[in-house]
Amino acid sequence: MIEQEFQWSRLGNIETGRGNLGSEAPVEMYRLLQYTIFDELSHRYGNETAENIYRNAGFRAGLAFSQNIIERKEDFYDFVSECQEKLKSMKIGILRIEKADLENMELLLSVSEDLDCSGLPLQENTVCVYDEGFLAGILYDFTGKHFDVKEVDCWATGDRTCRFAAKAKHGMVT
Amino acid sequence: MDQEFCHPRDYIKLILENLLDDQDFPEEAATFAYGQEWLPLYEKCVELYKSFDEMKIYVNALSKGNIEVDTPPRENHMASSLKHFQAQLRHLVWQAECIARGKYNQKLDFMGALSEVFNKMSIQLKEREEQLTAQQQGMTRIFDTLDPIFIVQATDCRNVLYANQMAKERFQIQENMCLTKHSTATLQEFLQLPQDGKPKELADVDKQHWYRITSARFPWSHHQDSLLFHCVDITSQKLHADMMEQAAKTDEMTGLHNRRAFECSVSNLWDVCQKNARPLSIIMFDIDFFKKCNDTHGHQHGDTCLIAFSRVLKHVFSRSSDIVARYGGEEFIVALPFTSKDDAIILADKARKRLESQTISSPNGEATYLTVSGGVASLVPDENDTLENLVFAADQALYKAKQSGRNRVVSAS
Repeated sequence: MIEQEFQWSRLGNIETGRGNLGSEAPVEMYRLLQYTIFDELSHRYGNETAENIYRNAGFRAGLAFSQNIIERKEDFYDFVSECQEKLKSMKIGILRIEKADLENMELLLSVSEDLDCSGLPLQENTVCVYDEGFLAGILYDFTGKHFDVKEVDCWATGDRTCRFAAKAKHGMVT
Repeated sequence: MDQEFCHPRDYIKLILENLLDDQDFPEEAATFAYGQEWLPLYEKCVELYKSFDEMKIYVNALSKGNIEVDTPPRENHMASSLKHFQAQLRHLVWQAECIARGKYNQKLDFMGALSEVFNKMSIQLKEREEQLTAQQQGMTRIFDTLDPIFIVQATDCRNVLYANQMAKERFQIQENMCLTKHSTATLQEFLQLPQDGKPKELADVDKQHWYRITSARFPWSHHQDSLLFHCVDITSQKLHADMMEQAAKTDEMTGLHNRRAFECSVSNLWDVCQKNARPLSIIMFDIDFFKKCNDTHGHQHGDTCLIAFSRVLKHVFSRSSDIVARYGGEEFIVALPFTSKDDAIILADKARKRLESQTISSPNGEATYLTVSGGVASLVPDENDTLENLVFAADQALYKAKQSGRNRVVSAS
């Protein structure tokens, strides 16, 4: 499925490289990068393909994030706590669990103050396709299962929090 | 109505009043939409009414605790804020679920004063859990240093829930409370014990150790009924008691039963022979001229003679059911179950001859010889007979043997 895993070392030594400016950058710059790349991809390949590319990139990012940032936990409840803490401390968003059916591997998650979309002007469609992939990547790392993650509510469509429905593609983890 | 409300502003007022008073949408208000000029305003009023109505249903459900209620289909700022609130409530449920599972590191940050209390509660729970864990570890260390054995076993699945260090060592219970073949067999024995709290004595499967065991029902947890076994090693007391009992039954010099032990044992033989209608024979022996032997060669030699004869008796009467005892002084008695008088006479004479043929050295190196007289009595016990009469008959026969010249066996008539 994944041809080549992203290597965390490619992010470089930020502490050394940005001795004065530090490791953080404004959210505007992150979004500028995100949406200009999306616009270019959409312009060249169409919206659907651009979304797929973003979703797959998000998956790689989520997997790398989980493998390099999130401490390994065997218990699901501990894993969720760890994710919440890391997503908050990295200022990606505030993760909350609304429902968790562990038997059927179905989750309803919400991400408030989302890095990608919170505060965006109203649009016709949800925009957090990158987040969909990102969450799927994290869940894949924990469960070993691929998840369908779909954003059902988004700030961009008028909601105050982004809500994601996640479901394992092949049932339970064995 | 038409006469009263002719201007669209009156209809708008009616719509808003119905909205605030929880009344149905006034259908007659549609009449003011006839004019194209007022149509957009009418449509906005309808949308406002429906939005408010949907919100009302949603908020009512939330206020009744139904946080699973479907969110309003219409997108607007109020609806999205309420959806956000609903998401937070659902997450609160999740956090409570985590706490119920012992994951106390939950932190609430979106519910104002409730967050403060909730976070205090989870911190308290965490601290209490740590205290309990520390106390449990302390208690475990104390119990591990104790000599008595403590084992807690689940009544349903038979798993060992707790075993102190001594229990692990003695019964080969592993650190993870898994049982070995040895411990399984021992605990199987324990489970047969009545759970009345009264102590019982039991040996382990190897019969290496004896334990005084108290078994009682023990509430291990709210969901787990169990049995507590408290075992004290009584092996040394048991050995001491056995030795004392043996000493009380044994003639110290000859190692034979003493008279008391004989009388206890022979009554069982009497019952067995009576039950099976088989003969029981009694032989009484008395060493001839034993007083003279003592007077001539000293008491030490007399003791040697007694020991020599006891060896002869052990050799001749070697069946496990035979009872051989020193009856007193130089008198010996033998009980032979399932043995006829004729066979008893043969055996008694065999013992007599064997003793007669032996040379016993006196303390000054002189070769001495010893003879013995015997009296035999035999019968198949029934309700009209008594053991005392049988022994008396054997004693009478012995008396006759003495009277008729000694070194012989005489049977009771």
